[in-house]
Amino acid sequence: MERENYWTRRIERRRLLGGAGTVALGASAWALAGCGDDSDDGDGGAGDTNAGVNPGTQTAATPTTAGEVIKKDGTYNARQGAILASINPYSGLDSGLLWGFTIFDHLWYTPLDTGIRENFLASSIEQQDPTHFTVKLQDSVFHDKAPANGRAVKASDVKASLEGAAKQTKISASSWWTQVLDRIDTPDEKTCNFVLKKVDAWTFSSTNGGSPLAGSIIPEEIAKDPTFMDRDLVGSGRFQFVSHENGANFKLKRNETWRVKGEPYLANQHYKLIQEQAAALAAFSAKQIDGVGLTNKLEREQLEKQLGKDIVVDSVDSRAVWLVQTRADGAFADERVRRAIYLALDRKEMITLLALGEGKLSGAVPPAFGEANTAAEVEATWGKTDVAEAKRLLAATTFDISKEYSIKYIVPGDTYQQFAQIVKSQLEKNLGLKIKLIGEDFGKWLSQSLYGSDYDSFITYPTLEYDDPSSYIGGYAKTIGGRPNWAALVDDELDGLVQKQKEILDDKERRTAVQNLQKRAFEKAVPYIPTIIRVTNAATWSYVKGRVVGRGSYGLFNGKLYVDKG
Amino acid sequence: MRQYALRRLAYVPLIVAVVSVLTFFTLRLPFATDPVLQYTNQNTTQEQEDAIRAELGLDKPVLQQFAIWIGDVLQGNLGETFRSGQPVWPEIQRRWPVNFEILLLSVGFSTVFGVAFGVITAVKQNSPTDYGFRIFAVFGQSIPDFFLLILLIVLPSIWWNYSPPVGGHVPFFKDPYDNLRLYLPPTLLLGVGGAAGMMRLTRSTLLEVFRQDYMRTARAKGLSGRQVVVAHGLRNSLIPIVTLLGGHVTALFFGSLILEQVFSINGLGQFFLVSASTSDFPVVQFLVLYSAVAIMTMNLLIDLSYAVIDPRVKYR
Repeated sequence: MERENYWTRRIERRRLLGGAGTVALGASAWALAGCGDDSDDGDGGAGDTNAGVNPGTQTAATPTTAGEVIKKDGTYNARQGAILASINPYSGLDSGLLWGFTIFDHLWYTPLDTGIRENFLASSIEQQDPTHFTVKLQDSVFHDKAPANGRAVKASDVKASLEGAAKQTKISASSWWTQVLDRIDTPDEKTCNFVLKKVDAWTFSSTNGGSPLAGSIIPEEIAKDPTFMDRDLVGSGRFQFVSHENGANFKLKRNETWRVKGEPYLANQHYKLIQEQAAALAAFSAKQIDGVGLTNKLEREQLEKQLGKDIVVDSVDSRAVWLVQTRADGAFADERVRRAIYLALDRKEMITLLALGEGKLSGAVPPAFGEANTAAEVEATWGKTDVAEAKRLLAATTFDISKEYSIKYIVPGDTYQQFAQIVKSQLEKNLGLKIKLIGEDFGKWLSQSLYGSDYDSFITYPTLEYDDPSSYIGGYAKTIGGRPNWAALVDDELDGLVQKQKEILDDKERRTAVQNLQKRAFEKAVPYIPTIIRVTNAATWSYVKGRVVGRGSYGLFNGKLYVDKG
Repeated sequence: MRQYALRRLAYVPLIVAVVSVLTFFTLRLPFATDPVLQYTNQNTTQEQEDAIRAELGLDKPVLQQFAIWIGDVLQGNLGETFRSGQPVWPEIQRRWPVNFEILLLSVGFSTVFGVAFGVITAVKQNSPTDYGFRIFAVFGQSIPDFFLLILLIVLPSIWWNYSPPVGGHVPFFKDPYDNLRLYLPPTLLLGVGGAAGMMRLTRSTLLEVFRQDYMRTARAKGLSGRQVVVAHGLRNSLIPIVTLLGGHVTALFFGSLILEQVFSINGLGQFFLVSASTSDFPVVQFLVLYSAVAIMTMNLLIDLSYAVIDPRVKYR
């Protein structure tokens, strides 16, 4: 159930966060500090972009009455959707992220919506050259528990934490930790000099150096013996770990010495293990938990009907893009074949069937850069459906439509299967292909079919929601994480552009380079075909105030949440 | 009977050995999921993968792995879970009270209700009461447990915005009130649902017994109706009931999974499910063994109980 690799972690985190399916991911108002969810990266459907977030989305606190008095000392009750194998943040992404947003502090974080780095524990960050930067630390102390016992956070703690995290194979999803970070020198207690092995413009992004998971600051004593964290957690974050029951039902209390004076407002956070969505909805209705992720709009409508104005529902775009991946070799080597597939997919029908009408056409992946394209542009490019043209293109090639092709998808999971069935049906109807569906156990699907390129024609899946663009861009390179390109895409031009953008330190220039790369990739009909983005829904009782929505994971770093039950 | 019991017990090590071999090697068949894949990602190098394999003890030849594992088990060392790196035994110990309580309450309720309703329907055969209980039995047997449990949560929520407590395990002796609030509603519901089979069996067996000559004799002797039914009728109907009861107990060793899942109680059922789906070999291997021993023990106890219930049964 809890496979600790890159993809399963995503699924597990989704479960942990309380979602019941793909769409529910973001919905988890469990969102640690109740500040919205991690895929709430859009403007709730009101904007005119088609692919995810708008840059500069406003940090929006939930409505409060003018002059309202903040009520501190409340307890936020959150849903925990899955049992943790271990509380040790190094044992997996789920535990690492949960504590990363609560128990532990970080040097900095780069929100996906703005792309602008914000200092946390770091008081300043100065980059001397592309492979060296210096971080100065603010004053901060660890929780008053052994072995740190409330002592000050020092540069040596940062060094031990980050260098230790780089060695943790179960959590270091990003190659930045092993292939880019060389070492951290600590000339004094407040200074960390980072030395990189090579230039990587994505160093500060959220899956790399700014990871809320691997970037957690842990006392040096513990970082050198991480097994300590099998039993207890000591950090310097907003909340202090109190207890758990076999990896569930966590209790956290406020860190009274948190470096931001007066925060957090909440006195406690309690997590309640509720695995079934029906039970979560019931617990939410009974006010046993203060927020819940909703699986689809039917659930949302039912809950709104039942609980009316006492709840607030956030409906926002998911950051996940449903992708159809073809091959780039064999019968699919001809760009016209792949273009025909692009044009034969009816994305509006997908939105109707898969998302009950609530979704958007996806532009380029990563969606974080979707703002480059207006809705009209997306509809004319990535989102275009033209069956006649698709048939014409395919007929002009040697593609054998009498042969049976296949779509591999993940089982179990209704949504994965539904998406594969829709794609199959559209390709059969619009191009006359014969397609069989092959559902595969997640482990096999991931390791053999996707990573190992073991599929003969199509493979379908939703992209990861939490990654910064650097991960997606890698898909256009000849190798992905040291393995051959999953779709057998070997294109010197695109590979060169991927390598080049990594070295552009200026954010604006890099963004332009990435967008140009995406456009070029589209022109070449790369085998990663974006289709749609679904809307996620989350409900919160209106007495939960000070939430931050529209900021993705950044919203979880929120000390101003409070519970006002009157 | 002692000899019979000892003879049966003598088979236990043999069966355990066969089960261990089958489990151990089945998990490692070429088409089974490689546990190492659970801990790798697209950036994992071959060296890192090898290191993880070595860390999990999977780098050695399978026969050597088996020898190490069986040697450890014989010394009382069940190894460490792949997922958490924690020793297996304490993980089992922590969850065992959950299953024991579910088992005790569910079987208790299903037996009490099942036998009671069975006796009532047999005594009042073909009466409206009989028909009423029999209709209930059909429903009880037809509706899946998970649906009943979901209804238990959903309906009060829709009607009254109330939800029974879910999640976690509060030990009975630490907080009896919270413990029973968590366990009583679902086990009562499952018990009543599970009573259906027991009721039908009790009824049909009792009706058969009621037709026996000794029952007529008992009534002719002037015994009260209660004495006739309980002392003569019920006692002579116990063997099939106990057999069914044994089946219930055995099934609940892991059969509480549905209850654990719906009510988010972290017991052995969930532990097994999670471990099996993540190829956590040490846990799966032990729990299969545990299950085998539990089933064998239960079957033996049921067989031995026949001799206690019916003096005509002799074991040699």
